[in-house]
Amino acid sequence: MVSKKEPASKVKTRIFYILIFAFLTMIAVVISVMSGTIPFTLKEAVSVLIGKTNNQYAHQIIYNLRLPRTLLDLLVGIQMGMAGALLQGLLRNPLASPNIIGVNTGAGLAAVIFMTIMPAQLHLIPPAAFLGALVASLIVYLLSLRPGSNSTVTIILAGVALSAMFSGITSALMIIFSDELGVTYSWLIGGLNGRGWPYFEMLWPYTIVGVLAAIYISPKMNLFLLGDEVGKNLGLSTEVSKLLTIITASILAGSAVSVAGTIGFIGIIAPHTARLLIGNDYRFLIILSGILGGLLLTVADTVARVAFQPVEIPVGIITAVLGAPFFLLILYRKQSSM
Amino acid sequence: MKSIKILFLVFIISTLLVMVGCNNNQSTASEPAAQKQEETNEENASQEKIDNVRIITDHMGRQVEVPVNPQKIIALNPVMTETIVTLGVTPIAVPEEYKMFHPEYKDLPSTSIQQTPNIEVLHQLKPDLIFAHIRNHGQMVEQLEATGAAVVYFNPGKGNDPLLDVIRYFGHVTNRDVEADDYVQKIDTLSSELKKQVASCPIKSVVVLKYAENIMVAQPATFYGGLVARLGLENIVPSDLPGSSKESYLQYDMETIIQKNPEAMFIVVEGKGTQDNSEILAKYKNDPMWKEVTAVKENNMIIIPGKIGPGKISTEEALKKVAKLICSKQKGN
Repeated sequence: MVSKKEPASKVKTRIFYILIFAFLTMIAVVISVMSGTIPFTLKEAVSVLIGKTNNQYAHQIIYNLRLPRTLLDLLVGIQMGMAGALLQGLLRNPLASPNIIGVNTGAGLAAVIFMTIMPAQLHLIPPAAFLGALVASLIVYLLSLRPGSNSTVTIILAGVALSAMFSGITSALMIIFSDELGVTYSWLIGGLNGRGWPYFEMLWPYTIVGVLAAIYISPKMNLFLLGDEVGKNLGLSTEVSKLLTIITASILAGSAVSVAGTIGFIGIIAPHTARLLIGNDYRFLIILSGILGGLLLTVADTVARVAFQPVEIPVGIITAVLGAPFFLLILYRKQSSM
Repeated sequence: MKSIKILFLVFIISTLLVMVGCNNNQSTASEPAAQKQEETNEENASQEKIDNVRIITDHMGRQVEVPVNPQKIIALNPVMTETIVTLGVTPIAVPEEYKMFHPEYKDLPSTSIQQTPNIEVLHQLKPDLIFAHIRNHGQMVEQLEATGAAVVYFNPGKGNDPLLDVIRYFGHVTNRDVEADDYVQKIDTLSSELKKQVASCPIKSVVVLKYAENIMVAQPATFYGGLVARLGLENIVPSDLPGSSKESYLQYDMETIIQKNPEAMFIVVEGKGTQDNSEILAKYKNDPMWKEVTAVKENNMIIIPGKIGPGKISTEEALKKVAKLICSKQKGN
């Protein structure tokens, strides 16, 4: 619960953390744009970025390859981090992640069905996946509206059941139509390999809408944490806020998954790390969760891209390998200081 | 009177015991002869078996007793099925995926899809020999052996020649080494001829991509890698990458592709080949990421339809078709 008369020092500390991690994220973005198979000097990179270079080769590599991919890392990470934070608050469950409302499996199933019907229409996978993610989260929400049920528990149970069902159907389709769906498999493993400006242009409007909506909802999330009854007594329109939260989380996670496939862990680890650093006040937590998500994915994707050149490894492996020790370190330090 | 009854009872019991004893003695007396006969039969059967089987070490390192002349053969995936067909064997059942591209085998029993073969069908068909794939069927050794067939595992990662090692291995296992050698020679001759044709074409370096959102390149040790090598083209993907013997496609670094700048791109489109090629080509032409690659700039993008794939077409046909696609590109078609 956030006290209205919070000590100014506490607020300053939270803002300090947000600024520090925003700065680290910017450094990660610069490092990502500078890293790759082909070496460029900082001067060359800057000349490309400000449009003052005649070096077409540098322009092609930095502007058309690294920059859009790094920006996509940032946007996808921000969206996954914020979506995770929203859902953990809404469901009052520390293990909640975008997948709990069926976003990943809904997107995956839609992509697979679409590719079975219209193979080779690769450019239509992201919109189909986005639609699948939205439909899945809507079904989960509608199932939770049953009168007399504990809606947060029902959302989790409905999400788990629906995810299992979607995942099963996806696996069955992948086996039966293995010949046609090899294309979809590479999308399902997740990652930003091969994504450039067209994907960035597809994603950024969802990021703007989702991030603004998440920031708008964040003060209400603090009331959710107190439970439905207390929230209602404090003037929170619980059902409307829940619907708004689910829609926002679906837009954020669904559009991210539609572009990057299913990248796990960020939606769980970013909000938890933020919570360990600055506490539970959602006005700050949402922002820091987004920043940490962006930072984690940018770093992880850069490592995935350059560690075993010229082979790229799935970024999900790196998010888990890098993110888990970082998270455990913060957890350990936090517990030691208590 | 009572004692007479007891004596009579003792006599009867004694007689019975003697009879039983004699019977046992008789058996014991006749046992060596029967045992000898049985041993002789077993030895003959064993000798016959030795004469009729060969010990083969499969790619899993198992010692397998394989019939000298297996007649009822099943291969559990389309590539292996195509190989036994090339050796002149008519399989007694084929996987579903094989039927899809070979309608002439549609009336044969199905072994189900390659990942999950139907074990009951295998029991029913009683094959002499089953070819299983180390990745897809490595966990079902006991189930497959329980069918009574010799089960030989194949690992495509073994060997250096992705196109012909399989036929040499299967030729050896099925005792059709001559047929295998003949086919290898035929492919060698054909490759030399096609290589000369392709050499007149300005294309020298290529990359084989799977049509997907991620950048997935075919490794040299794959079917497509083998085709490229046999046509005398340079594959920009090296052969010593991690997992080169395990994965057909690798997620690859775009900067390396730009750096190596291939003169042509083979785009492998999976499925039945019903896609619109112009849309596929547009994906690469319109993407700023690809536009500076010579293969895209020069429009040297060659779409390899799904039907020219391993297990769907013979190596011989695949070589001819791919060479034809390159040459038609050379003519500006």
